[in-house]
Amino acid sequence: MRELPPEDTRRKTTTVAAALDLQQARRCHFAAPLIATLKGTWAIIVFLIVTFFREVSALKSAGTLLLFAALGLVVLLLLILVFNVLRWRRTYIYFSGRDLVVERRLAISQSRTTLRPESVASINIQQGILERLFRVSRLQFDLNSAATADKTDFDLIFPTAVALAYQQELERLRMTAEVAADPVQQDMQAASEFLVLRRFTCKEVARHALLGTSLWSIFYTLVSVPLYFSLSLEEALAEGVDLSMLIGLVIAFGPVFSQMISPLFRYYGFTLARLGNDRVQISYGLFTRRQFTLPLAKTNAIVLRQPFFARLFGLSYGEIINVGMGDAAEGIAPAFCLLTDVREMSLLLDQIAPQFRLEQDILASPKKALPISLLRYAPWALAGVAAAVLFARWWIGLIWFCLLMVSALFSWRTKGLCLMEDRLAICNGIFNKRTIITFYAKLQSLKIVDNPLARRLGLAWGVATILAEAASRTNTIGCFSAAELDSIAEKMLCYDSNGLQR
Amino acid sequence: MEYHALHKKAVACMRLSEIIGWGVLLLILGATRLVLLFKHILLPLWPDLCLLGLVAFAVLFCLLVPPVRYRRYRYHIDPEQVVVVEGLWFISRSIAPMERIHQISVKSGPIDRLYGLAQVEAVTAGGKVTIRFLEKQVADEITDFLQQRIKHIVTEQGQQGSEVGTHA
Repeated sequence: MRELPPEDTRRKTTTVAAALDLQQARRCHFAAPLIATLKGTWAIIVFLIVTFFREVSALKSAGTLLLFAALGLVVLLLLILVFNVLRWRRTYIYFSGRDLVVERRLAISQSRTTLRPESVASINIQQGILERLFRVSRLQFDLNSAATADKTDFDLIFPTAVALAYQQELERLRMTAEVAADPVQQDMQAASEFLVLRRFTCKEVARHALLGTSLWSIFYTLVSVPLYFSLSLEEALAEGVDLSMLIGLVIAFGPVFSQMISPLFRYYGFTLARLGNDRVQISYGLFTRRQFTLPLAKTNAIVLRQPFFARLFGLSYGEIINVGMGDAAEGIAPAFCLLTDVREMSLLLDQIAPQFRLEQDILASPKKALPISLLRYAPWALAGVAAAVLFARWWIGLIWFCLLMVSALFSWRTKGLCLMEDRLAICNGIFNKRTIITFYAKLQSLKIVDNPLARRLGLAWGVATILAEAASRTNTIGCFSAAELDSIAEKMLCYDSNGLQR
Repeated sequence: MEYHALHKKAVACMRLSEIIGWGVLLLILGATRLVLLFKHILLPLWPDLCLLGLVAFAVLFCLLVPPVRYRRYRYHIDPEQVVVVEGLWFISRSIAPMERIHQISVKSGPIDRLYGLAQVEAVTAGGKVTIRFLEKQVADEITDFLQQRIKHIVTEQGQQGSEVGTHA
């Protein structure tokens, strides 16, 4: 397996960076339009190939309609390819002074996007199978911006050495700007060595994949797999395997496969490293190798996750909320470590982001909040019971009722809150526990909610939002005492977004 | 904290919105029932009773709920924050610090325009706080105030930034 940025590669890249004139306008690698076309149209290509092999006889006999449809798809593919080639030919990337410029001079649209190095929230270098074939890397930047939090701002394909050269130049310029803004950092920047903090072995990745599986996917598989075999096996033995059976197989095994098997490939070779005192580098992946470089100053929150089975063993994994790290659109968790025990997690946090350390114990939701939790689930539970009694069997309603009441109990048990001087930690979830640690300064808005029962008990719950991709933007708090939620609101107003107390 | 109430016109606007919402739902359910009737598909009595109950509930809801929602709806704006209190059974208090607001917009839907009302959206990087059922003139005044306040904060932060730069 090829690691993207170990020390020797970095030294080699520095030489390349010095040799390259990054101020000079250059295009992406010539493979870029081909890769873009293949990635954007793989479904059409697979469909064409499958149709060709399955229906070749039909095409030969009298399938003029099929032939035209296939030809139409081929023409569509060619058009997409031509468009991508034109876009590639007319797109230039260069440094203008300190800023990176991506200029597109198409006949239909012209654009010039300027990127200030200090606004970068994460730099990602990615190499999938296609990129490896052409010996190129995908260079992706994300800005610390709410408007584009759910998509990658810049996605460029270069030969690996050139991509690394651009990455290093951007990091150098960003650091220069930060040192100029904060002279206290100058001494800290001197120590900008590459230090591997933790490398996860195959066994640990397998443990993460196994214990990271959700309870729901296990439950789903336990129901769907026997159902699939009871319905399809006899039919398959009698008539042979057809497409609908394959689809059934995917539906039955899909969730458990995606939750247990895909993390094995995705997180293979997971490595967490520090770059100097102000950046972390996270790299992982077997087929698609990803490498994220994150400036810690742009970190908005840390999330500690405990899937149900990991919770039983006291294990948790961490996510780092930097805009662009694991964009929600890609469905990749922005993990900075895989499942580890509490002691190691706290050590890792101390090494990469000590400012997010939990200094106090997390308070559990008060006992008087349990009726509110039960009442929230009660309408759904009763509706299920009524539906089961009317349309199915009463015992199905009973199972449903018990399941929702257990969920309400777990939901209440999982809630937690820890209010510190300048930051807070919020726990939520039902069977899977999620703890987010963030600063009051990073809270963007707060909604405090109550109902007559909660008011009588002096309780309330809330929703706090932070700048992050959609999956981490809203965070539910509580139920807790109304005074505690008011205190969060007060502290949110006490700090400005730079973390300065007013 | 001093809260502002909405103009009386808001009750009618809320009521019309509820009538339209419930009307669409009841129309779909009623049409489905009629289709079943014309197709001679027999149903037990309870679906018809449920439908009748729903119609009665919708009428009561449209009559009684808007005045209660109107009384609960309050907003507060000061140089530090925007606060909106609203709800019927669940009362929510949404707070957006003025310093985190980076976009303000005034919107006016067809029902709002019928009553000369508008809504002001204060957007932060994580969420937004919306003050609804405002008179057009009040909405414009609020927007002006918020814009001026945000401009002031940005200028203040710019000055602080340049002071840090000078010290560096």
